[in-house]
Amino acid sequence: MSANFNLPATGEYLQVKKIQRLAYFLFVCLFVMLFTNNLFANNLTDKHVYGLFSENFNGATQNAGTVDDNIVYNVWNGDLYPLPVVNTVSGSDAKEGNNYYSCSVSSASVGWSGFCFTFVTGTGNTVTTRDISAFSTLEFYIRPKTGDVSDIKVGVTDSADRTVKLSSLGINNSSHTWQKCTINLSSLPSVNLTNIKNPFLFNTTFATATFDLDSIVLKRSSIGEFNVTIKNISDNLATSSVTWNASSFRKNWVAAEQYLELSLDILETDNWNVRIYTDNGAVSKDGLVDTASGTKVLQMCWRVSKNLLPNASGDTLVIAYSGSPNYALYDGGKSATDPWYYPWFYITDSAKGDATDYSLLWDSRGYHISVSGDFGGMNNPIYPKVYLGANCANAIGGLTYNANIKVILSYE
Amino acid sequence: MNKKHWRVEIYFMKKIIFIIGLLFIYGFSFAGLSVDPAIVNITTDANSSYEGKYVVKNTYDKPITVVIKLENWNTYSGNTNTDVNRWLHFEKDKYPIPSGESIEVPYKINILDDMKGSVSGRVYFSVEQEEGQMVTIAISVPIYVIVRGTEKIDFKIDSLNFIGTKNGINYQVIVKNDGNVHFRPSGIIEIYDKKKKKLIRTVYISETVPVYAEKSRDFSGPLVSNDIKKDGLKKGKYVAVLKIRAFDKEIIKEIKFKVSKLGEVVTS
Repeated sequence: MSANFNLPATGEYLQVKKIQRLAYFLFVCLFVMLFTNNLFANNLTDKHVYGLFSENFNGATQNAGTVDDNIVYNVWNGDLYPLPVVNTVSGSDAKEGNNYYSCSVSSASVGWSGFCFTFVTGTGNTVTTRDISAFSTLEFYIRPKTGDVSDIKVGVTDSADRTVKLSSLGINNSSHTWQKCTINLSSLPSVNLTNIKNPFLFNTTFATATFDLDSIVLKRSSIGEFNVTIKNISDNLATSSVTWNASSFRKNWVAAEQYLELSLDILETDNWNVRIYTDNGAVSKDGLVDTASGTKVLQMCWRVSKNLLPNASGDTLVIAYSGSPNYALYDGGKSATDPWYYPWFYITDSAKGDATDYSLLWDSRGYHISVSGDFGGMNNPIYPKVYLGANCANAIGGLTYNANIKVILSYE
Repeated sequence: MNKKHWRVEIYFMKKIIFIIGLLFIYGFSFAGLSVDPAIVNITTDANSSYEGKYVVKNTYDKPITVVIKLENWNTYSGNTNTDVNRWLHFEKDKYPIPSGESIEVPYKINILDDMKGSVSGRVYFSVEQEEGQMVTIAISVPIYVIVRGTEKIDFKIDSLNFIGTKNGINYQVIVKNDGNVHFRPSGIIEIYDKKKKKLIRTVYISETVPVYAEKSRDFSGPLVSNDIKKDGLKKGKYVAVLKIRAFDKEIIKEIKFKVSKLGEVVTS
């Protein structure tokens, strides 16, 4: 069998090839975009809460290369002043998440010192300016330790430093606990918020003190959003329902084929939390309920992760259990000595009104890593993933099991 | 291949580009629900009313219906009827919101003659589930009301403990509210030498979560680290004085404790 090939005219051929190349390029871009969630997001444009140093809110990333929202940390001194020492410290005493800045500054008879975050662009970290006029406040927490922080000046830099003294923000220098500072950006003297180089500046001239900093954000006056998106584990594409593979039938604890991705862009008070429940109308219906009689329940569980699972760090979606009758659920791929061995929680129904950490996905401490009470901070992009499991060992063939899941952002 | 084949190929390529373009746009969009304000605190007279409003915003790419549900929260039990629906009213329990728009949701609080102390409720704003939709999101916001002139302020420190951790010593304070109004306490812990002559360390407890009427709440946090050079405590005996403040009242509790050479702490 032979085939006749009549080649098209050259112009038409080139048009097709151009279209093919364009389609291929767009396909690759789409793949990258969907696989690396929000890679091209511009948080400065989109977010109501913009994290400059935050483990719960999206925002800037230090030394992020060509990605938007790129900042670098700068520190300086002059004459006799020593360079400020600013280290990232991990500890359960962080105001938010696990990390905070531990700072030490000293004054001298002559000179100056300070540190800041600076907007940069490109792989070479070229200093640039950005428009932050959409934001109304700069907020952060400071914990004075030794010395006196009163004379430290804090603010932003456009063509010049625009600052106020910490003492004017009501800081109690004797209080060795986290204190919130809120700066009304438009009240900074002569500031041009459309042309900001340093969105966070600490002028430590005249100060000798040690102190900690945490939870540094820009905030808009308008309120942002809270959302939950269901996504397939297989391709990370959004979908409308959570399902279990048919192979789960009559098997003990099996993870669902989807996860819930959380998106939080609201910070009205630090007393917030995100919880998960079934919403089936009864304490006993804390799982998948058969639609025929409404009496047969397959227990469910959940875990939350900052990463997509399974991942190379050893986090799996293999749900194992030990002990009886109220057995603990653990990650079947982890060692029993791993501190986060028990990341799975039994789900409860909203009818129970559980307000303990057992239904808690996320609060200012971070995402709820494990039953042992660990919480973890996150780095950009911050979209915690909630995985669901079900015990299908007693599933009855021919029945359909459903559950209503409710994810609630609460304040207190 | 003939010209017809090429035309068909061009046609489908353009379709693919169009679809990919749509997905690009979809992929960049942000969406969700927002409710403002997050917390409502009101102090008002008995037999009075208060009117307020929430602003609810829909940033999904489709219209939604927000369902409002009320729940009792932590109302003082001395109120004969603690049902939140008795004093908190919304005109409707469903509000359609077009895509990208905000609406105002008004409410009214009626403080009846027989109400006293504090009443509170929670307002749940949920996105109404569509057919087959398994997951619902909701934002739950509290409303706290104090009935002026009926307040009874009475609280105590149930316990003060120090607990050794791998990073240092943490404090744990349990505050019991025996009054009829909630409050957000603040306080300080002063650490003295064993003779209570020299003040060594002061830790402040910031005002955060409420202690509800007739309930207890614990507050914990770091007291000192293990680093003697910074704020750690050397081996020895100490006296801790805890002062808790709310409204115009301050209560004090004092305990003695020991720190071992290894940083272990024992209270007495």
